[in-house]
Amino acid sequence: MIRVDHFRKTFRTGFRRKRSVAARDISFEVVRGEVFGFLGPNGAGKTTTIKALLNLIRADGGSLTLVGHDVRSMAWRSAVGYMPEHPNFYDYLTGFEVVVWFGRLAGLSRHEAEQQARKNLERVGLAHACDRRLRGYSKGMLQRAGLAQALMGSPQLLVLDEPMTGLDPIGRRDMRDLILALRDEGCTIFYSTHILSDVEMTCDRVSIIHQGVTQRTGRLSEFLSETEKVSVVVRPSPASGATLVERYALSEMPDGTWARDFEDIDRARAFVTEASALGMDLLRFEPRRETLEAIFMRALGTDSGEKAFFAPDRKEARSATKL
Amino acid sequence: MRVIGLIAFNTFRQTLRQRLYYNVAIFGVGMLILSMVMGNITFGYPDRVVRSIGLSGVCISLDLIALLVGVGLIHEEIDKKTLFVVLARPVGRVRYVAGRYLGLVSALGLALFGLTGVYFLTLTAAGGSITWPDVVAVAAALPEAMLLGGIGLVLSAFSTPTLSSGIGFGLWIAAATSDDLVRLTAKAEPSVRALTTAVYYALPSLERLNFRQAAIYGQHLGVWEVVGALSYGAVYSVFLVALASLILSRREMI
Repeated sequence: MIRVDHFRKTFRTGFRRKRSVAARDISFEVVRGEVFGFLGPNGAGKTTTIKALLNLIRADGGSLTLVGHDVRSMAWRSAVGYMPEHPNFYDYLTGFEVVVWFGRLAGLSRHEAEQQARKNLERVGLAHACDRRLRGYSKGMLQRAGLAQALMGSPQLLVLDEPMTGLDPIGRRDMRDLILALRDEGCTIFYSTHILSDVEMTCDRVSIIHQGVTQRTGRLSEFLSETEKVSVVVRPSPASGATLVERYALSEMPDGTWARDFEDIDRARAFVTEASALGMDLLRFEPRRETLEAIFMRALGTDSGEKAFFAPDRKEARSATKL
Repeated sequence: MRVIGLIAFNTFRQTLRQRLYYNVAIFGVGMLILSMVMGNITFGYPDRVVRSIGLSGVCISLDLIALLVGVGLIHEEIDKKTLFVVLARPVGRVRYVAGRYLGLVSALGLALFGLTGVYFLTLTAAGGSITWPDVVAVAAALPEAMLLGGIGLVLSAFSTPTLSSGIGFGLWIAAATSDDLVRLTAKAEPSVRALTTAVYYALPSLERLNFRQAAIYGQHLGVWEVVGALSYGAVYSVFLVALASLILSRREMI
């Protein structure tokens, strides 16, 4: 449905036409029927890539195709629904009128557009406010209206730019449920975000980008299972041997128990067998998966990740704001 | 055409929601009332005074609406990112620009309709009768405003409304006076003459669409003279829409 190969983009901004690299080498592919998460910190190049996919900006290099067509053609447009990060429509129109208008732009007749608008507004939880002008909508309601208009024309592919931004917890849950429901109906969903918990709950595959470069792409389940660890906690017995503690490099906890995270489950099993033979009580044997956040931070090339995630380099943050 | 119509109708509604539209229209009505007052206190030919001030009021009001609304037509949509969603639909930039422009022209047509009604009432109240040159003079106000709206649209495709307004007002004055400038500099140095001639050819000549003097002094107007002027306005407007489309097609939506 989407294919991006070695996409590059540099903007020239300001009076001096200073170069600002937004995308250095971004590649990924989205297949039919999946929910694809496009992850990256602020300024990573997510919105730039989405804009290039929608032909709002031109790529400096690489190729981009949407629903099997070059992004510069008009052929894909009736098959794609797009929701921007902060939807801002005509505030003098009601929610219903806006959604009908976009439906008609998508090629629907007035009757079809009105029918679909009612259905979609109800689906996004705006049925009660469909006759209210958009100027009276909250940020979350505008977000929902943005999704309702994106659904007009029953697109095969939905491109959502930060769809969870500005939503309260209930709104986020509703959005997640809707994304999953749409996938079950056969719609392909591509969305950018940096809210990792939403990704874990909705995405089939993800691509992590940082500083305009694709760091990793793959199935979310593979990401999470490849780094499984086993956490073992035992209570020592009078017969506990010091060699066992040394050999397995156990750590003594403040409550007097001994603990260790094993990367290899067979080694963990071997330790438990030996510990049981020495009369130790097994308090915990818990396989633990690395969180997506940890994987994300690792892909970004930082252990704590906090620097890259929450406080990107100032220069980059400035260019990100412009993008 | 369907998509252009949808965008035009939405732009028409959008323009009618702007306070600016009504403020300028009220200014035009004020000018017409002033023309009646001035006509009453002027010795002789009160209808000429009404025509002079009244027609100027109609044209200036319409030109102001065209320019001030025109300079925000595209930029505002880029600024609010509404355009991104519109262009993600099977619309295309050329059809989008054409729709925006036609919406503005429709709103100008409505404003002209109202102002013409008030002008004719004022003229009749001042004892004047509605003549063919009067009709031509008010009708020609629309292509004149369309040209300025087109200039606004072109500026709006690459510049902010504030900067566009400044440039637009400058171009308005230059376009309205380019004929006079060429005449005045006929005996000036070659470099000055070359400059004024360049301005004359580079900008639309609003003087070609000015039939106000003919209406004030009751001069004869040939049909072909009128058709030629209106065609000039129409062709130039199409050129400006094409130029705005070209600029927007090359523009990156950052």
